[in-house]
Formats: sequence, structure tokens, C-alpha cells
Amino acid sequence: MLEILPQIIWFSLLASAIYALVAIGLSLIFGILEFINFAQGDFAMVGAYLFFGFVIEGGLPWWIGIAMVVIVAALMGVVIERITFKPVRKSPPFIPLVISIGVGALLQAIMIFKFGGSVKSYRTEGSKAEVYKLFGDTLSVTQSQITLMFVTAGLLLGLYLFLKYSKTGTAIRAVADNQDVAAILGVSINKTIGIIFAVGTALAAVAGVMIANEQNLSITMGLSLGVKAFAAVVLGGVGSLPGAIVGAFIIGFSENFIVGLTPIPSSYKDAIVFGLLIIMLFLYPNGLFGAKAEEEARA
Amino acid sequence: MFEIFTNTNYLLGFFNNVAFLILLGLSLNIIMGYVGYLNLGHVGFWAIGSYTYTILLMQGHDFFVCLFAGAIAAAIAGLILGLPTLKLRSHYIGIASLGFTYIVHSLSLNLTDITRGPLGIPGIPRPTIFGISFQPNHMYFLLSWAVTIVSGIIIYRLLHSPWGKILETIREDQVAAKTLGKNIFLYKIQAFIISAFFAGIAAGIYSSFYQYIGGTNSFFIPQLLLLLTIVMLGGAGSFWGSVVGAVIVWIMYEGVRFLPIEAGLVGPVQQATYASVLVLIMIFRPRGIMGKNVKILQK
Amino acid sequence: MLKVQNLHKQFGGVKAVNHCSFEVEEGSITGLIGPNGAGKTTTFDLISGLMKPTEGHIHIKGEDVTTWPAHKRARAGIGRTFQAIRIFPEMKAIDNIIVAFPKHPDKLRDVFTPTRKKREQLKVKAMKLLKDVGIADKAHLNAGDLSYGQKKLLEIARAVATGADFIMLDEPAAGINLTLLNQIRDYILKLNKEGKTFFIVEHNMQFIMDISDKVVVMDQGKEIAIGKPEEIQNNPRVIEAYLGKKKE
Repeated sequence: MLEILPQIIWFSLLASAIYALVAIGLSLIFGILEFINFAQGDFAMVGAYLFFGFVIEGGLPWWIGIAMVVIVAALMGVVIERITFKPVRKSPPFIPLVISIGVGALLQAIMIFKFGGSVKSYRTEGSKAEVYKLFGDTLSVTQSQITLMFVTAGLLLGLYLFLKYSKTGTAIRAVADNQDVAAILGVSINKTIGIIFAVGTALAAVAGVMIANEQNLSITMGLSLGVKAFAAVVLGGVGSLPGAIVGAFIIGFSENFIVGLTPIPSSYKDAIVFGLLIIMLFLYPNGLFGAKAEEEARA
Repeated sequence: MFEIFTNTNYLLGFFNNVAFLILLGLSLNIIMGYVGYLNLGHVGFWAIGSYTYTILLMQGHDFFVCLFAGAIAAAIAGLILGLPTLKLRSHYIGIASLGFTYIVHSLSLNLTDITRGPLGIPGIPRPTIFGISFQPNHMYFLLSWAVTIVSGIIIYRLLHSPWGKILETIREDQVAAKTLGKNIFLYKIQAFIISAFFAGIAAGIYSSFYQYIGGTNSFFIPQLLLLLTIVMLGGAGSFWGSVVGAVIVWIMYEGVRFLPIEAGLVGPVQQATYASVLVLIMIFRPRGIMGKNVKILQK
Repeated sequence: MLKVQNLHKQFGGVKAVNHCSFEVEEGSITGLIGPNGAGKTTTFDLISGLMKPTEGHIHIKGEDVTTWPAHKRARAGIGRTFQAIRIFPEMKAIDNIIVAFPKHPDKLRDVFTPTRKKREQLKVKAMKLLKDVGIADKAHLNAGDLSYGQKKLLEIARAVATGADFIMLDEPAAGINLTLLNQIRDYILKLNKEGKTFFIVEHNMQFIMDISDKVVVMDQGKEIAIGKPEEIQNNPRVIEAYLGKKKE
């Protein structure tokens, strides 16, 4: 039992990092535009395929590949926001929500046109991943996992500094707090929302690369990712970025521990997480850490 | 001569599809258009109805028993999903119900003893009732339309009754509905169960029409998109809207098959078509062709 | 009719209603006034059951309803309107009224029983109510297409349709012209004469002092004065609450 613990913890960390990256974008968008972006998981899927196109098919070095994924995804986020979400910004929130379902499905179709519907993998035949054995062989860690963990940590730190210290970051927080007031203070709402989509989409795309590095690529891989990231957002309390990250860790660890330490087959992993999500929403409609009593509505 | 024969069969197939889609659209519209809740779990009801119907039918039970059993199974699923989610606020019901669809999909692929997993269940018979075989397409056409029309009349009666009016008050303003003395939770649960019940009925005529259910791509996102498009294109809150929506959606579906594209791209093009139509409808005419300006997901 | 005891509602650190107590006598028209943020609408929400109090008790007709859900209180005879009008905009005006009748056959089991006769009767009753508030000619328009004043009248008529004998109005006079204001006042007085009790939140002092038998003044979640309109107008604490607010 104990000998597999380091490996479970490592997998949990990887999963948590992935969920955190997706959850941050979701939380930023939810915090400002007040709708759940169902396409967030599909943004990750697109990122995974872009990396496949640039690096595996295109032969670019991985670090240029990551940079390209970030840039293309950020642009894609901005364009999607301008075309589909901006016209309905004043509409009731279910309208952008349904649109995001359509956008996600459209992205899936486009990726099939480009890459075909068959399952793909970053591992080319004959290639061997560099593996480090630690703790007396109980933990094996690949080179690419470590690299991606560093990339994630760097992105999260960068985001933190950006939100905390840059002028744009302050603007984002102002808009999240109160759009009308922010507009009066001279913050450009359009620009700020554009940046949020760029950041959120880019982070999700990197998460897609990470998950594709562990598993295979498939067109529908974004769905479970999106729902889990949302679960992380709700767990941590809607609108709180640190909360979303904590939520991501709770989900990443609990799913890997459930599968690692119980006889439940791993194919039920997602079903269990979603079942827990439904129960949790019922028990804690404000999230575990987000019980804001002043927001109590007429029940 | 031969051409007419194939044409007739083609048309029969077309209208058989339209029949169960109308019923699925109408049943989803009860929740989305009348109660005003974004239910993304309808595909799950469809799946549960289909498996229940099919398994019982293949054990040799009577058609109407199987049809009813499938509907009851779906209705129970509706109760199970409805109880924890119907008191949820705004967006959360969308995500919880999407999680439900995912759970059902995941179970259908993993409970191989019951569902045969990704292989699906082939060879589903068409019924013989009072010694009359409904095996030929034209006979099955009569049966599926008979079921759809009877169900449609019941749904019409429900929606246009005083009971249905209370559903509309919930959609319009559930706080106000409470102050009129209406126990709105009871109405929501009733509506959810009835909606799921008729999804189960539609599932039965769907299963025997295709004589095959299951596989990795069924009862999942493409189907969810199909149902959402039917309801939103036709118009939420309009009975005839769902009927019109089902016909148009299936014309688009069949239309793609006549495009000069390779067979492997038909599915993705269909998905892209629905996704685009859904996005455009939501941006430019959220009330659909003949629906109401409904506020789904009020706060 | 209504007895509020030690009612308390806290949102986080904010005391929206702070250990407030008062009574509304049967057959009276009672006003509820106070500066913005005094907790008047929260008090209404607590009485109608849309919010649960942190502490305290609410009695209606001698019965403790503190734990009752909103719909049960409505059936016990509490009707209300809202500050931000809450009608059913995509439904016809007449249907807004019809759904409110307690005899509306809206149980699921009623769907497949003949109710045509009953529904016809309700339609006639609804038309009469609409006529009473002067918008009978708008009966078949979508409620959302009515003017602001007409929506207000519709909402009041809807509260009356529930059969409530205790009706709470949240700012009935706000944002409407003088003609309409007089019409609403006459309607309230007529219903009052027929035995209905009214509890009215209002900022229009002339209107509320004119119509009320008794006025409750709230400030910072607490009742600071209760009495006849003329007593209230000369009460130094009330003047302070209002003027103190204005000085800020």
C-alpha cells in the first residue's frame, strides 16, 4: 500500500496543476461575465492538438511549441469572445452559456477536420521517455512531467504578479468587482474582458498539453476536464482565484487517491467525481469555502 | 420503379427519425421552455430509457410493457437528478445535469455486463402487437407516429392546463410564484419527472427504429447538441416550436449527407452545422422561430 | 393580525433587521417608513417567508408562522407586492391574475379532469378584478407590454386575487403620476372597507400619513417609533432619523 503512495501523490500533483490551469480561466470569466464557459475544457483540447500539430507533426522544438500554443490560444480566445460572447454581454446569463456549448462543439468539429477523429498520442513509436526513479524505485517521474510542472508553476506565478502588480491586472480586478464603477473610472471593459479570455484560453491550452502528455488526445477530452475545473471553482468558492486552485488540488488528490487506494476501476474516476460534485452542490450551494452570507438571495 | 422504392424507404426513415426527435424536443422543452431550467441531463434520460427498453424487449417482454418500463426508469432517473439539483441556484443546475449525462455515458461504456460497453447492443427487434408485425419500415412508421402523437397530445394538454401555467410562472418569476401560494418545488419535481418520462418513451421508439443502441459516440455531446438545437431553434416555451425545430434539425442533418464530402467528415460537419446554428440563434434570435423571450436560469 | 417579536436578520456582519418588534391590527392600514437601508424590504421578505430570520418570531392571526415556507404563508392569507415589480411578463395580464386564485385548478391531478367550467368562472372573476383596477382593456396583452403604472396595478390586483386578507405593498406610490396615485389610494381604501388589512412601505410621506391608521418607523433595522400619523410627524427621534440621514 505505502509503496505506491509517492506515485499517487505525484499523479495527484500533476492532475491538480492541470485542473488549476483550466479552473483559473473559468473563474476569471465567471467572476466577470457571470456565466459558465462550457468551452473551457475544449480550449484545453485545442491546446493539446495545437501542440501535436506544432511539435509532433511539425517538428518544432517543444519550447517553441508551447510558446506557439500559448499565443495561438490567446488569440483564439480573444476572437471567440469578440464574435460570440460580446454581442450578448447584456443578455441573461443562460444565453452566453448555451453559446459556449455551441462554441465547444464547433471547436471539436474543427479539430476533427484538421487532425481527424482517431485517437492520437505525443509518444511516437520508438521514442523513449526519460524516466527518473526516486524513493527506491517507488516513484517514476518523466522529464516532460517535470518540465511541464515548471511551466505551470511559472505561469501561475506570472499570473499572480500580473494580477497583483500590473495596471491591467488591477483593471481586471476592478472590473470583476464592479463593471459600472470600473467603466466610470476609465477602465476599458472591452479590453479587459478580451485580456481575460486571452489569459484564460492560454492557460487552458497549456493544461491540454499537460494532459495529452499523460494520456492520449481525443476530441472529447475537454468535457470531463471542463466539468472538473468547474467543480474546483465551486469548491473553492466562485470568484476566488486562490479558492479555485485549492479546489483543483482537492479534486486532483481525491480522484487519484480514490482510484489508487480503493478497488474502484479507474474508468469510473470521472463518474465518481461528477457524482460527488452533484452531492456537493446540493449540500454546499456556495462552495466549501465560499459561504458568503451577504449574497443570500430570497430563497 | 426501384428509385421510388428507395425513396419511400428514405422518407419513412426520415419521418421515423423526426418522430422520436419531436418527442425528445417536446419533453426537454417542458423543463427548458416552461420551467426555465437549463437541463443538460436529458441525454442521460434518453440513454436510461433506451437501455431499459432494449434489455427488457430482448428478454421477450411485451412491447408496451418495455416502452412503459423504459419511461418509468427514465422518470426515476429524473427524480434522482431533480431532487438534489432543483433547489440549486442559477448556473449550477446546468453543470450538475451535464455531470449527470457524463455519469450515465460513462456507466453505459463501463457496465459491460449490461450494456456491452462500447460494442453497443445490436439486433434489437421491432415489436409484434396483436399478431401484427411492425418490422417493415412503413409499419414501424405508423407505430412510432402513433406513440409520438399520443404522447404529444398528453404533453400539449399538460402544458396548456392550469398546471402548465404554474410552470410558466416559475419560469417568469419563481419568487413571485411562491408568494401566490404555489409550492414551486413540487411543480418542478413533477415537471422533471414527466419530462424524463417522455424522454424514456422517445427512447423506446428510437431503439427499435435503429435496432442498435450504444457505442462510444452515442448518448453524449452530439446528441445533447442536437436536442438543445431543436428546442432553442424552434423556440423555448413553444409547443409547436419543438415540432418545427425537430423537422428543421433533421433536414439539416440529412442535408449534410448530400454534400460532396468524404464519409468520415459527415459527422463533424453535422456537428459544426448544429453548433453554428445554435450560436447564431442565441446571438440574433434567442427566442427561436416561434418561442418566447424566456429567462432560463434566473438568479 | 400580524405580530412581529424580536425579529432579527443578519447578513454576515450586517444587521439588516435588528431585534425589531411591532404589531399590525386587523382591519387597519399600517404604514412602514424609514430612511433607505432601514430594513423595510427585508422585514417584508421575512414576513412573507422569502427569507428566514436569524432570531425572533412572526405570528399571523395568532399562529406562529416563523418556520413556514413562503407558499404556506401565502395560503394562510399573506399577499404582497414588490418594490421592483415582479409580474409574469411573458404571460397575458389576465393569466397573471388567474394563476393567483386559490381555486385555480393547478394540481397535476386536475389536468385530466374537466375544469372548463371552473376556468370560465375564474376568467370572469379575473376580468372583474382587472376592471376594478382599471386595466380590463389590457387583459389580453402580455403583462410585460403594460406601462409601469399598469404593471403596478396588475401586481396589486394579483395580490388581491390570492384571497389574502393581509396585504403588504412595497412602495405602491413610487414612480407613478398623481392620477394613478389617487386611483391606487381609492382602491386600497375600498378593499380596506371590505375588511382587508394593509401593511405598506412607502417613501411618499403625504400618501402614507394620509392613508394610514398607524405608522411604524424603522431606522437601522429597529423600530424607533410606533403611533398615529400625527404623533409620528412630531416625534423628535423620527425627525432625527430622517434629517440625520439627509445631512450626510
